[in-house]
Amino acid sequence: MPGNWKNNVKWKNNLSGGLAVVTVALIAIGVWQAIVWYWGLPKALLPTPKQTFDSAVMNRESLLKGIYSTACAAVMGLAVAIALGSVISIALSQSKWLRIAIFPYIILLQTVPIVAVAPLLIIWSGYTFRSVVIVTVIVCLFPIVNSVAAGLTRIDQDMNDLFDLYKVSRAKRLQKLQIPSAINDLVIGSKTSSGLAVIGAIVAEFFVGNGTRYDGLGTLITGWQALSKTDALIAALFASAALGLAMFATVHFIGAVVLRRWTS
Amino acid sequence: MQRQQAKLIESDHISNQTTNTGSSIDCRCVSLVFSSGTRAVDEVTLSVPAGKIMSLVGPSGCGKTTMLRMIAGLEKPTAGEIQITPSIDGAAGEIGFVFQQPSLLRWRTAIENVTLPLELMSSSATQSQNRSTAAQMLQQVGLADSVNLYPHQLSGGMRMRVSIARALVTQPKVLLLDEPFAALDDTLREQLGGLVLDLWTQRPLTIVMVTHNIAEAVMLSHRIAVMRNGKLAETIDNPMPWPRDDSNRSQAPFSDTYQLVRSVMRGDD
Repeated sequence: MPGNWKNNVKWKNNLSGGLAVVTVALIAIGVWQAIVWYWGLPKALLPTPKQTFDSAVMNRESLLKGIYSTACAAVMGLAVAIALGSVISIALSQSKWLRIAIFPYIILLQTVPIVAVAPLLIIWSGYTFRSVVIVTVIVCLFPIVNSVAAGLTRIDQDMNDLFDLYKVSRAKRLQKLQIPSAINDLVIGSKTSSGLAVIGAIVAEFFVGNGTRYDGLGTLITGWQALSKTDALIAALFASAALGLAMFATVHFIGAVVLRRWTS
Repeated sequence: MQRQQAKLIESDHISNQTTNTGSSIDCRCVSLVFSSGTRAVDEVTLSVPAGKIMSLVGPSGCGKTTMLRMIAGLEKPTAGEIQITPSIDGAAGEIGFVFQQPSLLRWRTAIENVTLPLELMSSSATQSQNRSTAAQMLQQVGLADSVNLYPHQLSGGMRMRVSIARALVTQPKVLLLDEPFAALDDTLREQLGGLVLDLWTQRPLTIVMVTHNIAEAVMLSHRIAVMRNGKLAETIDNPMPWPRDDSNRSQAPFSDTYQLVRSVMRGDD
């Protein structure tokens, strides 16, 4: 009975949370519609929600293709960043000197504007899908390395003492203590990077898409901007946001499944 | 078994008790000066006979935990010598350590936490043998029904029981406890103190326990070493008879020893 009651409360909480989100969205759409009506704005400046929806339906093929291409680049970039970031973090966790020597460059990777790096990368790597993935990796890498490296090195003193007591090798300490300790940090870093992955992919597509047959959301956005198709641009904006949310929700779900047994 | 232990106490000869009753611990003029210049432990000489229980008591910052860590080999003395006889010769698993916090790995169940030392020692035992050893140990600490629960599913007292089982799963000759029950309420503290005594009677084991609690030290120990400002103030042999239970608390040996320890701790002349 208590279990059922708890589930019931949880279900009700989820329902009311969902209703609150939908209510806010409906209010926002209402305000948007009211602004267009009140000021009599032309479609080229700000289309109504209905006009935007119609444009999304009309351009659904391009949008779906764009979402697919951008999603592929974002997922692949995030996956490579997770793998590469984990390897870099493990290397950093093994040597204080390596941390001192390498970490400033990883911070540099984060501070250099990606819009300045992307054109260079495209010159070196070509107007290809690969370039989009590389830009995405660069954008996603820092949060993962930052989070995982901290998780690998921030070990409870008692646990370190326990492993010292049993005279454990460095490799075994890494395997049995540091890596499992850092899983939670990997999930947190990946969640942060999941939203950034879509941004990175779209920014790269702005450059890659110029004059090529690449069909990501970024390419669509630059193309529609040139044609002043405001309704289609807003539709692309919603598609980008939806993709970012989907990426975040997927990583969140995977993280929750991995960690579900460890936390209350 | 407790009668046997009581007899052992009566014939308390350090040199006569060796392999079958745990290890004896001898600390000679042990000092530890940290790199900051702080003298944490200053020329402490004390001994724990094999198979006996000693408590290290003293105010916060008196160096008792540092002393315990040196016995465990987690800190190296800057001067003096610590000898454990028979020699454990740097072998892993010969010393069990219970920390103030249970310090369990949250991604491992109770039984997986207890098998951890066996896995770390890379013995020839198989995984199922390790699990069987750990299950027996958990049964001895009263957690036979909780082997597959994760730390977050256990109460504070249960977590500490897992921590004690983990420390004893390698059949160590020496068990070191660093204020293990400080975070628990009085009832749990007494229950777990009783558990430590039960476990001690079942195996050859020498115990050194750091505690703030004078009553706990008097109830559980054969010998009480009082430390102040990094120095050993006094070593008191506890005259309380064995076996011990709550009825001992109202008797003279308990109250006399309690008062004596308290006055040494305060520095009364």
